[in-house]
Amino acid sequence: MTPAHGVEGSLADLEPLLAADLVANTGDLAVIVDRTGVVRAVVATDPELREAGIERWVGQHWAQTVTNETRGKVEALLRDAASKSSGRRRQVNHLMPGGNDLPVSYTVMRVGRDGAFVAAGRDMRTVSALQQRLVEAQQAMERDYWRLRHVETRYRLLFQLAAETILVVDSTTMKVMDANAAAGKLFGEAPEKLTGRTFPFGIAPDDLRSVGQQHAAADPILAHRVGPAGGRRWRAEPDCRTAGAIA
Amino acid sequence: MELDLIPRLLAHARGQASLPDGTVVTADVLALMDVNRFVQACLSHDEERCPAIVNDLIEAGLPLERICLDLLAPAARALGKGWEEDEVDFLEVTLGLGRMQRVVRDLGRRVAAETLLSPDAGQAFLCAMPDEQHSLGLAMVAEFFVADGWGVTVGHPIGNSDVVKEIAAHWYDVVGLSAGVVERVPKIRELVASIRKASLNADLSIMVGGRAFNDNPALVQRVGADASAPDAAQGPMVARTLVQARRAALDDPFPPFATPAL
Repeated sequence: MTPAHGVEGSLADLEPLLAADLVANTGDLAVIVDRTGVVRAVVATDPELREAGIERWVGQHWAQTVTNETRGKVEALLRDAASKSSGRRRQVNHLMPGGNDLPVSYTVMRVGRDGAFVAAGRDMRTVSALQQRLVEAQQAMERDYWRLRHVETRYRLLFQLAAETILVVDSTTMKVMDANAAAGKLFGEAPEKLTGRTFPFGIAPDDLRSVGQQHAAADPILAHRVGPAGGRRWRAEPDCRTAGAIA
Repeated sequence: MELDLIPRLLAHARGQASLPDGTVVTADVLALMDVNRFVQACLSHDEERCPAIVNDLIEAGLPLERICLDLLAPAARALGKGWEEDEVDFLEVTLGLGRMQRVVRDLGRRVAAETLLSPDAGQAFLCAMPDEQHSLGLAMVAEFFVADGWGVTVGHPIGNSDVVKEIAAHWYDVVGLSAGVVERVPKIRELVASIRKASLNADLSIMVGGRAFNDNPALVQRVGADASAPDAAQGPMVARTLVQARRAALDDPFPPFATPAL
């Protein structure tokens, strides 16, 4: 015999009300439900809970005291207890007169000889309030995220539509991180083919030295693209690791 | 935690297998697509386990859309089911969905880097109904709209009036509202009516989505919306159809049933 059965066996000999007292003193509230599912008594230690109107449940079907979406859970709790399978803890939301639901996490056991049940409940309001704040914090971050995405989309559009050639270059490795459509046109390749290549490329050898000096210098310098396109003035913006070419 | 409820969507065949849409994948990819395993990864102590699975799938060449629809969506549903059955608690659901949302963001950024606004699309405003708890589904829909070349604004599920104010102040072609539970339906009907009344765009299209509407498609008309989409990926296509129909009607100098006066 498992310990759980031992406890149940000894509780079975107790009067349901006595058992409920015992349960309410270890949890937050106890509900006595008769074999037909009707609430016979409610015991709570917390005066605030008693004032919340939980006595109104007496005489009603237990399942009728909870919200629509948790009604099935009440039935499952009673079914599990009746079949003596070790039922799991289930959280339901009680409908309360004030409009605020009362979340309670229950375990149910069968007591007494007439097939009554005692449901031991844990008041989940504090936990629920905390969960609500967590969800709201997450939603706030989600909104910030979309705001940033919006800004990013806008600047991405400007980057792509700009007539000026722009290459974003990693200043340590000199690898191209991003290239716009104008850069693609200038070098005669799809912009995404340019990313990963080491800058500078496609520039006349004589101009390379001055392009290299751009890390330190702020003045625009002239570089020539190899081939027929003629002179391009390259300007490096070291802070944002961008090289721009002005036709 | 046990989540045996999820049926195995996928069947093995000669070392290869196929996804629900018929895409043939290798057994390795199939193992990565295991919904139960993915849910466990989302609930694990290792923050990187779930993005790592998705990364492997991307490297294996699986389309991002399939990752969303055949892995993330069923995993989110499994978590929701686990919550209903009290197998996972609310914090675990929030943690798991939060990690999936991180994956969706990553997928979204990969797509957005290659997408520009499409002239045939337009501006979309998407939001979840007030008091919806989780927004993974909506985030997924938003990414599919971005990938289809829409300008996307995601509103927050705080109060109806904010949404109405936003749509009165800015031009939108489509508004998408999502609702998980049927109880919200009367509220949506109310919201749809006030959005139409306040909208800057007199020809605004309104779409609704979410489990409530997937379970009962008749609700779409009942709340006064123009359309719904069976899944996140089809949302932007349905929206395009709506918007193009409205634009065509505007361009047409002789709308149907109207005879030009001579």
